[in-house]
Amino acid sequence: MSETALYEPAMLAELRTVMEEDFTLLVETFLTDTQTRIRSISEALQQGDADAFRRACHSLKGSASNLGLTELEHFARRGEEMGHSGSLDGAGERLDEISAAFSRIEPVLKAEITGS
Amino acid sequence: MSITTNRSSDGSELNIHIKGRFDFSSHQAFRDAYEGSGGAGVHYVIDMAETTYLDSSALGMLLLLRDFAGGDRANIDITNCSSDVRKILTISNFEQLFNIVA
Amino acid sequence: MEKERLKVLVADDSLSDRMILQSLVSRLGHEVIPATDGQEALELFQADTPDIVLLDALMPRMDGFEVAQAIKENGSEDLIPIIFLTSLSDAESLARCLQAGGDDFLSKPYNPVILEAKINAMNRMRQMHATLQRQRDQIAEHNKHMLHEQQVAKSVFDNVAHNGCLDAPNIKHLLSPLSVFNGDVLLACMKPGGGMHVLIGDFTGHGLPAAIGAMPLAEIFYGMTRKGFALGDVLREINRKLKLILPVGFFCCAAMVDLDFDQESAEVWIGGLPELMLCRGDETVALKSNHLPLGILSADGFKADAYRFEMRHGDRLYLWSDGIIEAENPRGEMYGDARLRAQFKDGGDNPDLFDKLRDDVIQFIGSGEASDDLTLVELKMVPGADMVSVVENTSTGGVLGPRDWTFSYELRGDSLKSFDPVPVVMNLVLEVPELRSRSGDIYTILTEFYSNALEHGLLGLDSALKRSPDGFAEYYHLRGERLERLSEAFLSFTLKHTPLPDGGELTIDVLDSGQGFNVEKVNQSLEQAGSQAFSGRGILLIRRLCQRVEYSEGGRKVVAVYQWQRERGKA
Repeated sequence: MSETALYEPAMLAELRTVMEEDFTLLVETFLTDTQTRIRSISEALQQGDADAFRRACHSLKGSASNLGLTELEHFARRGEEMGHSGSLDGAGERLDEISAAFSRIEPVLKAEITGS
Repeated sequence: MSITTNRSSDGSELNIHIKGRFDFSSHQAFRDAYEGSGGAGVHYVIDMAETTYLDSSALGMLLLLRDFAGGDRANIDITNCSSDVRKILTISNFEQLFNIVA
Repeated sequence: MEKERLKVLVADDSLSDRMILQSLVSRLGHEVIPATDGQEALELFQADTPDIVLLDALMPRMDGFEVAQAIKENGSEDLIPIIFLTSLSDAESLARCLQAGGDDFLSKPYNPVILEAKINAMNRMRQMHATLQRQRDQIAEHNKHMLHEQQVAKSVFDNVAHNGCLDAPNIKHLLSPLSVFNGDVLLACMKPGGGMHVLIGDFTGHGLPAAIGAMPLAEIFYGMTRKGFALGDVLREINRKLKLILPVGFFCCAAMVDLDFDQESAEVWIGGLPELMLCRGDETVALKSNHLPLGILSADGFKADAYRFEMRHGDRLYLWSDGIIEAENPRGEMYGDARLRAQFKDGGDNPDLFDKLRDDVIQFIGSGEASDDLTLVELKMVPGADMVSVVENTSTGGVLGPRDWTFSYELRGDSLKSFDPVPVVMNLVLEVPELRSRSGDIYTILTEFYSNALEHGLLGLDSALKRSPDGFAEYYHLRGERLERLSEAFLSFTLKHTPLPDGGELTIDVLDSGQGFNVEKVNQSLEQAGSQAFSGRGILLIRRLCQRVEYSEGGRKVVAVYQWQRERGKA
């Protein structure tokens, strides 16, 4: 378990201002996309495709950073760095870290859009 | 090419020193060198000690200075000419218009 | 700063990232064209021509690198900046973005302040490029225009400046233009009496300014030479005109030559051109410039005194502008005075000297560039008979001039000292159209009578002096001296023209106030000396040209009758 903060509330607040009424749509889109990406990462792992693994982690890292989701970005980056090496040794662990981080941030984001 | 000027404290004499090639590219700098001075009545000294070459547009510029300095009444010395520079001034018979000092 | 609404293409396969960027760009006041992958980005780029492209590096169906490359290679001259959206951080990937044509990067997470700054910077670059492009096109257009105008102007110039007789058998020349227009002029023209005037000039500068001065110069040169004006008169008028029209600082270095093929003598005036070479027999003489260039001095200060010397048939004169001396080889060395002089040292009497000289200069320059115009000319003294074939294109007008007239012209006192009346008289005679093609004959008669009346009649000079080369110089020295002291003298011309059924008759009557001479004695000595006499040849020639020549009033008056007949087949 990492000591990285889960997310940056200030950044999410700023996005709410920027996106105005589209904020909810943005968060819902992110949640759907992330589930898709985690599936892609898992498939790449099963197929032993290190490059596909890296690319999916790279995308996730970018999107997570744009929402200020610090912990998810951190684990996605580790996954991407690992994919760079060309080998999938320890990839299962990376996938687990990412899934766990997502399951921690998902309720926070849902609360942001329903609680508001 | 570079042009430097030296003015006597009472403004009655202006020394213009021309270094390197004196050709069309010196046009503006040469004009700037004398245009602020008094014109007729001022004694102009063109120092060519470090002038390596003159072309016909430089001769034209000297004529412009002569015009500025009062035409036939102009008081202009051309000094320290190298033999090459001297030759160009001689072919053009500029001794008739300027006081060329060896 | 003024806000410009730009069209911004945003290509990112991640929907949430694209939504954020779209909002940020819209809030800056720009229009967004969203694309979901590389392929779509390229299609939208072609359809909508955006001003700036924001491109994610990793995308399905064509990644950002490929799209960037395709955009930069599409051939448009406009600059459309590409900003790569990337969280790639390794140097290799960033280098790839630049190689593909990216102009900047924007990393995730997006920072609104940095995004705005980057879009503005890219927009400034785009505008600067567009400005440069526009200016470049304008310059290209202007240049095309100018070249065209120069070509038109050059053909006008050629008509004015080159309708002389540069192709005469006694002239060899090299003229190599630096640009469309020369700074150099070379003019040659036959005089009405059969001699020749040649002028070589080098204007300050090149191109149009030089050509503008060349136009009046050529007009005056040809116009006055054809009317019989002397070298000094032609130069004085050219100088006056150039001084009037050229701005201070612009002038024309020049040399003018007057060749007299019958007297085998020449006159040369040099102002500001390099010394010229006279190859006489096996000796070579340098003649130095002794005047200021044309167009500097006012009419009062201008001096037209010329070198005057004998030149035998076969002797040659070489003239050049400083372009020859300053011609550079590829190593930047000048051809120089010394090389030029060396050519004369070994072979002043070499008949092929001109070709040798020309070839040497051209070979020296090699692939180097001539920094000035190259003008080189050789003039050879030849028997007058060799020049008969030189026909100039002097078109005659269709208007009929008067054919039946008499006029009288008398010069007195000081006017005799400096004024040559022959051109004025010639002008009137040439109003008779048929006499124009015979102007050489008439000019010869007028000049001979005028110089006899002036030099022997009024000044009392003895032509026997002219038999030796030293005496030749002495003669002209005395002439100047006595002319200066002349007073209370007159010299008159009375000319009468009467039409005849198949032609006409011109009577020329010249009277002077001098001492006259023993007509019988002169006639006798003429017959004894025959055609070998140095001074009597003029009169013999006139006797052949005229129906009748009579001296009277103790040698003070001479009357010649010249008849001409219309050529058959011509109106």
